[in-house]
Amino acid sequence: MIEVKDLRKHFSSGILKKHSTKAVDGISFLMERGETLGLVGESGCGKTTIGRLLLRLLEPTSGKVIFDGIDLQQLKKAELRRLRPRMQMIFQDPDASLNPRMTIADSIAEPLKLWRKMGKSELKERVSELLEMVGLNPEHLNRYPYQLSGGQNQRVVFARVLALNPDFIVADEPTSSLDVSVQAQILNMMQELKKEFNLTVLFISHDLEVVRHISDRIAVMYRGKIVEMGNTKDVLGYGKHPYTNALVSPVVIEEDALLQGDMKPVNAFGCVFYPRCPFAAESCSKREPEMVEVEKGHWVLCDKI
Amino acid sequence: MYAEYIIKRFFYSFLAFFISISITFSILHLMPGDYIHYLAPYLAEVNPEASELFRHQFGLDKPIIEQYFIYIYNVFHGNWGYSFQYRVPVLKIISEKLYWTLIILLPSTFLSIVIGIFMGAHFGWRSGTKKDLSVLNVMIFIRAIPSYWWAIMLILVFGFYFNLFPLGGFISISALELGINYLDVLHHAILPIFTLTLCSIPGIYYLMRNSMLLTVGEDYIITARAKGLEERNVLRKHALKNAMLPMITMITLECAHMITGSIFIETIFSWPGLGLLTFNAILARDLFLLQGIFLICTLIIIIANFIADLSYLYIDPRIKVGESA
Repeated sequence: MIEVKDLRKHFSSGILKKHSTKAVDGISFLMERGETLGLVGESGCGKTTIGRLLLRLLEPTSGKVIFDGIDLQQLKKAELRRLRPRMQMIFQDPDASLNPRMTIADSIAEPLKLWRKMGKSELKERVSELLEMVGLNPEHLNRYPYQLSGGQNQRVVFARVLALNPDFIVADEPTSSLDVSVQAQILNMMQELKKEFNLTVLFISHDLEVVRHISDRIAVMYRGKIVEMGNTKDVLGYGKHPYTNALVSPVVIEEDALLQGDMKPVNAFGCVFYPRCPFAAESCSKREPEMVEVEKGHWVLCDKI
Repeated sequence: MYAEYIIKRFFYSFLAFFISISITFSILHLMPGDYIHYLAPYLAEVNPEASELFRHQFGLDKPIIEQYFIYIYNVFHGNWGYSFQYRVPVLKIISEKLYWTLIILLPSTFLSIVIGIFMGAHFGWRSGTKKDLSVLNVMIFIRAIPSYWWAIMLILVFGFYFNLFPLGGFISISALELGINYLDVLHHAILPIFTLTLCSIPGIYYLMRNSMLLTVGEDYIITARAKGLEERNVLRKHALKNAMLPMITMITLECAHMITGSIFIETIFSWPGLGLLTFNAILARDLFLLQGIFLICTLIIIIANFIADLSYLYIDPRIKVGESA
C-alpha cells in the first residue's frame, strides 16, 4: 500500500554558515493495506516530518514515497490534488485543525462539496450520517468548534476525514491533547472505524501505551532514523536496540541514567545513538550501522546485536 | 442575548469618555499662559483691568472646581464654548475644518487600508521569499522615517525641483476671482494624500502580515491543503477570513484618525484642516477651542472602539455570548 524508499528531508538554516538539520535521514519501510504502524520517538526526532512527507505536504530532499503503486514525487500538482482525498491527516490539537469561523456542519461538508457532486439535501443527510458515525448528535451541527470539547472536536475531525473515504490516514498524536478517559474513547472509536473502512494508518505518538494499544507494528525513531521496527509485542516486549530499551524501561531512574549524555556531537560516519548509548564501543563512532533482521520482520539498526 | 454585552461596552465607553475629558480639562487648565497674553503680551502689565475683564467674561476667574462642573454640564448640553481667536462657537469652526480634513484623509485612509491589507496578506502568505523580505525592509525604511520628513522631501522633489505640485495651501490665488475650482483643490491635495498614504501603509501591512503568518501555520490550513483544496481557495476561504479578525480594531481606529486629522502633515502643507487648527490653537492658547478639538477626538475614538467591539459580535463566532449550550 505504502512504500517508502530512502526518504530524506534536510532543513537548512543560517545565513553565513549554512547549518543543515537532518529531520528525516534515509528512512525506508513498507505498510500493508489495513495495517496500523505506530511511529514512536522523542519530540524533535522527525516523526511529524515523516507524516507530512508521506502525504507530500512537504517536499522531500530525496527519496520516494509510493502510494498504491503511484510514485508521489512524479505527480504534477493537479494529479496530486486529485489523489488527496485518498490520504488524510489528523493533528494533535483538534481545536487548531478546525477553522474557528466555520460551523461543524460546514467543516464536514467542505470536502464533500469539493469532491463529491451532491445536492443540498443529500449533503445534509451525509453530514448527519458522518456525525452519527463518530458518536455526535445532529444538535452539534450548527455549533462552532469553540463550543465543543477537545474530544468532541477530535470526533468532528474524524468525521471530516471519513467524509472522503480515504485509504490512508496519518494520525499525528491525535490523542495527546486529550485527557485520559477521552483518549480511550477516541482510540476505541478509531479502531472501530479502521476495521469498518479498512484504513491504513500511520499512528505517530510519543506515548508508548497508546501505541501499544492501537498498532500492529511499531517503528522506533531516533534523530531522523528508524532504529528498530517490528511487530508491536516484539518491539515493546523484546526490544533489541538500546534506545528502544531505554524507552520501554519501567524504571524511571534507570531510564534517566540511560538517556543521559550529550545530544550534540554526532560523528558524521558513526551511529546516531553513539553519544548516548551505554553499550557504545569505539567502532560505533566510526561506522554507520546497518539494519539487521534479528527475526522475521523485526529489524534493528545496531552493530552490537 | 447581546443586550448585556452591549450595555456593558456602552458603560465602559462612557466611563472612558468621562475620564478622558476630565484629564483633558485639567491638563489644559494647568497650561501656562492664556489667550490675552498671546494677543497682547504687555497688556496685563499696562492695563490689568482689561485682562481681569477678559478673564471674568469667560469665567476664568472662578475656582477651577467650579469651572470643571460648568464645563461638564455644558458639554452634555451641546455647548462646547467659544473660540477666543475666531469668535464663533467651537463646534461651528470644528465642523468647518473637518470638511477640509476629510478631503485629504478620506482617500488616504481608504488607500492605505486597501494597499496595506492586500500587501500584508500577499506577502504573509508567501513569507520568507526574497520578494517578501525586500518588501519588509522597504516597509521598515518607510516607517523608520517620520512623516514630516517624507512630507518635506516630497515637497522639495515634486513641488520645488519638478514643479509638478504647489508647495502648500489648498487652492490657487486665482480662486479669489474665479471661485473654487475642484480640480485645483485636487491638485493641491495630491501630495498630502500621497504622504499620508505612504506613512500609514507600513503599520497596516505589518499587522496583516503578522496575522497572516500566524494563520498560515495553523493545522486547519494544512488540513485544507490535504483535503485537496486549491491554493487560492485555501487562502480565500480559510486563511484570509481568520487573518482579517485582528484587523477590525486597526481599521476602525484608522477611520477614527481620519477625523482627528494630522497635525504634522496639515501644518507642513498649510492645509486648513483640523490638524492645522489644533496647531494654531495651541500657539494661541485658545483654551476652549483646544478643549473642543480634544473632546471630539476622544469622542470619535471611543465611538470607533465601541463599533469595533460590536462588529466582532457578528464576525467572530467565538465572541457570541450567552448562547444556550
